[in-house]
Amino acid sequence: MKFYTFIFLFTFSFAFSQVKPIEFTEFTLNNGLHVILHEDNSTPIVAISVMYHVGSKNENPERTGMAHFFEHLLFEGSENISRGEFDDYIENSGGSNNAYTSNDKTYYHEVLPSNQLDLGLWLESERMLHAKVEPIGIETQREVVKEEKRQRVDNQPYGTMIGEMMKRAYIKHPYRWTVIGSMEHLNAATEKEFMDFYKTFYAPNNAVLSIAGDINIEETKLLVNKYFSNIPKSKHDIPRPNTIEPEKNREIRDTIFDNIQLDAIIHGYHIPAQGSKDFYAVDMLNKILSDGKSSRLHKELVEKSQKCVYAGAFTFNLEDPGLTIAFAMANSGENPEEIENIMNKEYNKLKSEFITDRELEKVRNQIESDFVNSNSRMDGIAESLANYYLFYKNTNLINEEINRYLAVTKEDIMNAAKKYYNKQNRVTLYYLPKK
Amino acid sequence: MKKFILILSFICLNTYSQDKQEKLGSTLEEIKSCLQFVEKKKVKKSNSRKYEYIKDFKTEGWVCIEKGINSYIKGFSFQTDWSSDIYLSKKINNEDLIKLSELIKNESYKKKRNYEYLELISKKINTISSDILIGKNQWEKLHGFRSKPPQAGKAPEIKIGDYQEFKLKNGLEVILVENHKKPVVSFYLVPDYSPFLENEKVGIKDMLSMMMGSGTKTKTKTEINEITDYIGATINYNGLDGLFASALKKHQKVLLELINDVIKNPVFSSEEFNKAKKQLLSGLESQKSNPGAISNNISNLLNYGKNHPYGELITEKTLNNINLNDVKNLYSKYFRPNISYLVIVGDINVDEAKEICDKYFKKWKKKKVVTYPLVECSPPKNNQLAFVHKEGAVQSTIKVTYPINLKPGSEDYIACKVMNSILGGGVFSGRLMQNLREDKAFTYGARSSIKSDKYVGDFTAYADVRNEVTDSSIVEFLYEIDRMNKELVTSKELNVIKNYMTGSFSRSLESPFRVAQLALNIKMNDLSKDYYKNYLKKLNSISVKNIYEVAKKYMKPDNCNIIVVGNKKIAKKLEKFDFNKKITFYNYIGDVINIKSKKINDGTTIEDIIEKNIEAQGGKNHMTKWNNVKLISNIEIQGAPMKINLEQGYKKPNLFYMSMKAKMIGEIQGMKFNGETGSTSGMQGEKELKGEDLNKRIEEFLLFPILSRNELEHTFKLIEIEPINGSDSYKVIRTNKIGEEKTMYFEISSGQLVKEIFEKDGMQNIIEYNNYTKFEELIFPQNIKMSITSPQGTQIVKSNLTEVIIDKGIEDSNFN
Repeated sequence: MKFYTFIFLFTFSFAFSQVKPIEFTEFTLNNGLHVILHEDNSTPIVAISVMYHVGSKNENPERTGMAHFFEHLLFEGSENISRGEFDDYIENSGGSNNAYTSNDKTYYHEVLPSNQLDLGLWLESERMLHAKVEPIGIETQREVVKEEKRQRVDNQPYGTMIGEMMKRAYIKHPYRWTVIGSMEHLNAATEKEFMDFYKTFYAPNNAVLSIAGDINIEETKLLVNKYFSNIPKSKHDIPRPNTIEPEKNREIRDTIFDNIQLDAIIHGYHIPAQGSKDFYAVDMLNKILSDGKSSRLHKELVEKSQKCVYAGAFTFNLEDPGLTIAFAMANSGENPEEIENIMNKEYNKLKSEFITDRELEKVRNQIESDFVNSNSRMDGIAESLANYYLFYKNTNLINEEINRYLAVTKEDIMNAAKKYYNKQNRVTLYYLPKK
Repeated sequence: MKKFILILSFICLNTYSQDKQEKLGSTLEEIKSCLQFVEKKKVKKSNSRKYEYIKDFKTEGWVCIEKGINSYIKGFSFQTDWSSDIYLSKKINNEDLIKLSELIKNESYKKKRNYEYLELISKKINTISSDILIGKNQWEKLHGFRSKPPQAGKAPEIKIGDYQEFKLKNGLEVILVENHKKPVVSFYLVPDYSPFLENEKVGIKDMLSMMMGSGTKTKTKTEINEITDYIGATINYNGLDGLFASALKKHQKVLLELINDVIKNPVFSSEEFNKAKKQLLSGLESQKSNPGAISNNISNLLNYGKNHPYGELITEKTLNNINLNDVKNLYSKYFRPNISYLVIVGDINVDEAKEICDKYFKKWKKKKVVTYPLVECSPPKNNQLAFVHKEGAVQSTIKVTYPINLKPGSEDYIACKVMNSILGGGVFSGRLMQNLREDKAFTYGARSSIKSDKYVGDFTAYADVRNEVTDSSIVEFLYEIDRMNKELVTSKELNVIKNYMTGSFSRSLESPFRVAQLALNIKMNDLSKDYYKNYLKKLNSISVKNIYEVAKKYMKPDNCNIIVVGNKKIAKKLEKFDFNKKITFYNYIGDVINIKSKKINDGTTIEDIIEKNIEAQGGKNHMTKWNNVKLISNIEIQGAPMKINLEQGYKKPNLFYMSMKAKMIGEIQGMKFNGETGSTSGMQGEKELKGEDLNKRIEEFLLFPILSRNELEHTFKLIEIEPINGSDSYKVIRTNKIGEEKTMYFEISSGQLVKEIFEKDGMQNIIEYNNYTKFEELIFPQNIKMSITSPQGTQIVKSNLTEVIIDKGIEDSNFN
């Protein structure tokens, strides 16, 4: 037995690159704010971020788009920051900032010279404590969000794809509406509703503050305390959807006519939530299908038959069970049904034949390369740390998640294909040019 | 006392905002400033790229101020509620306050002015002022420190990672940036060639770029892809712009063997050659309708001239002149170690780097690379206006530009970059942005750039503006450029830019690739080894006077190429900007063309033109003699996959059908008219055509609508003579019953209709008719090209008439 262990250890250390683990300190303030600090003094910059556990899935079905709307609204200013000055502070200090909203979370971050750590904490605490939620800002941002929807969804070829997919894939679960939401809903929302949303979700006990970069841990703890410990926690319970999407028993097929020039075929399969064992197998399976020019879908559809200009698949990692989506964009004059047949053939092959040893090794190499190359910048590290704590309650996954991938076997991949890549478990969409 | 209460009331309304308190003095004055504050809140436009949005609040004037107070007070009522959680507890009489806000709301609707209702507030507030005071004190204790932004700490020292260098015998210069944080290595190989002319074969460089990595003597493209993926590597092939490859340390050997093979033993096949050419050609096609691309073409041409490599433009013609050997020759001429740099970044030390170079790059054969003398580029002697007409454009793409001689790292370099940032660089606060967007609302964004280059660079100020403000925008551009070398910039402007540039520079150093890029800059531009180490010091020492000095030298408001891509309707107004008051018109690939229209002075009337047109289509006799006609065409939609067939049928007196079918998909669109009722069909289902919809289409049901011009109540107006594709044509505006206009061009020599422009459903349609051909006694255009422009872009549809069947009978069922 001892001999066996030795071999295992030996191959392990040989097979996988040694990466210095990312060290971090974490603690929770009395008001519930979870704080994660990572010190790296190699460049005098610091990334400051706050991830709020609120996304489109927390919205009232009659008020979709609220979470994303707040991502805009909360740049409008606060009690101590006049309208428009939020960005001025960042620019004048030589920093950069941004934010995004997903189905599960809203994330704000800035990268500043490290002597401006105070400024970043001040800005984020203003946002959390008393951002301005008032008519003028609401009006302004309504227009901006409408413009964003026009640019990013309506005028973007295939921009409606995720929305069209999700609304067919989900009947009950709040993933059925899009993050950008409905402009009618936003128009109908009252000031009180906006204020309630803010008071409910923008609370320290619903957020993670993570800071990475050229900091001193002890000094930073004091500063965090100064800016954040007096922010009262939410008095409301934070509502979380507990809807379970019923299991599917038949395929949903539909055709969408859009302002596009090339046909597209899209498959969306229901998969388990992020972090589950099967999730990792599905993610590996997707890489076999579409990561790199030698991946199966790309090779068959783009290189060999030249029926497509693009073919790929990606896993939607969501807190509740999500989707994996395969997407093929046809070349001029190709028949979409023939393309779909090839796609189906590839899925079936995964169910009936094990992937080759070389393929498994390839995917592991790709995952290892992604893992090593990720987290090479401070803002990336701050985001990963917050994400692993918020959704997995295990911050150290930043160093360990790769092991979950490497534990996936050929059998696991075949089983995942058999379990999830079934017709009754999918939505199929054809995108065709509008006349 | 009264004053105190008033102030207090505003403290409360503003929830203790410092800057607002300071604005309150006494009575009327303080009210005015309060109103100004409200107005400022309204007017101040947010400036993040995420919510760039312009609304002209100013024009709303007083209405706006009243609304401002209104929403201000409304906001107050719920702010009270929420802030009470923190500091006012429940002591405050909310009811009173809400009543009060209602009162003020009503007052403002009656348009009573400021002082009266503010006085009302103060009276009401009186009763609860002491509660507020207590709350305020509590608040101050807990959160008072938040009212001012924190001061920055001591500026950190910026360290730039070190690099090492060595040279191989074959001339390859190696730059190494060690970074052992991650077990990753990257290699970037780039030939440092001096620019050369491609003459009648412009585009070889682009072809090479697309073909590198598509095969070697021992590996197919598929094999190259498989190896790349297997080791999880990233490889980008960019031709003469270099090759970048990166992988985990443990795959270093495989990666090096692969790129070594790609660099030394490439195979360029004719199959890949044709693929690459096809892609470049379709790229050119889309350039034609892209004003940004057109504007770049013309500015390169005018700044550098067609005898300088930077001024050469790729066209269909030059691409078609290229053959496979040209690509092979270009590769073997310029992929040489003696002009190349190999940049190595990552988990590797100098000994290992040398070992690798010995093994893989030592045997790479050197060969002398000829350099060619370059012509001098200089700004125009006076301002010149170049115009490219874009059919139906609602925006003008403006560039004010001229070549400059600014080498990277030269003495003026940093001051020039700062100066440009103040004028129109990265930050939103740039003067061009403030002037053209914030102040005048001419555009979504106005910026400028100053490009440094070892050979020749350029200065460019640019914006997309609304048609009607094109001339005003150019005035502002020239004004701002001129102002740079007339006035000193303020030290505030200078400091904002210094902070911004210091921050971006420091942040960029996080990446080891950036460190390598800086090292490569030093080598390629012969800078001193510590150039970037002193960069921030130099940046921070730049004074207002330095900026003035470089502006004097580099800002040339009287030596600009002013390039406008837009609608020729507005061209006339721009003559004044040209020194000779003469606009030069170009096409999209930079040929000077004549689009000037001429007056008609030979007495030709519109009736003459129509008559000639009828003759040209076969004459009235033949045009009325048929009983039924069927037209069959092939349709090609640019970028769309399917092949489409179009069938159109006409039967006396006025029956019509058309059907568009695609292989495999079936009918895409159809239309029928049996003389009385009509319908449309297609992928969105069948729909009856009636009333207005039907009336609008009556013209489409006719084979020769020009013959029915009187019944259709069409009126024609002759405008002028304009060249269409180089051939003089009459421009005629036709108006229908309901006032819709269509511009038609009739070629003078042939009498044929050659072009139509009209708007339909908010989209602009341009139809060009070509190759008029005789089918029995009737004459039809064989090729028709439609360009339909919507906000989403331009779609091009081409049709090719393949068959005309006259009087062979058409089943009536087709029309019903």
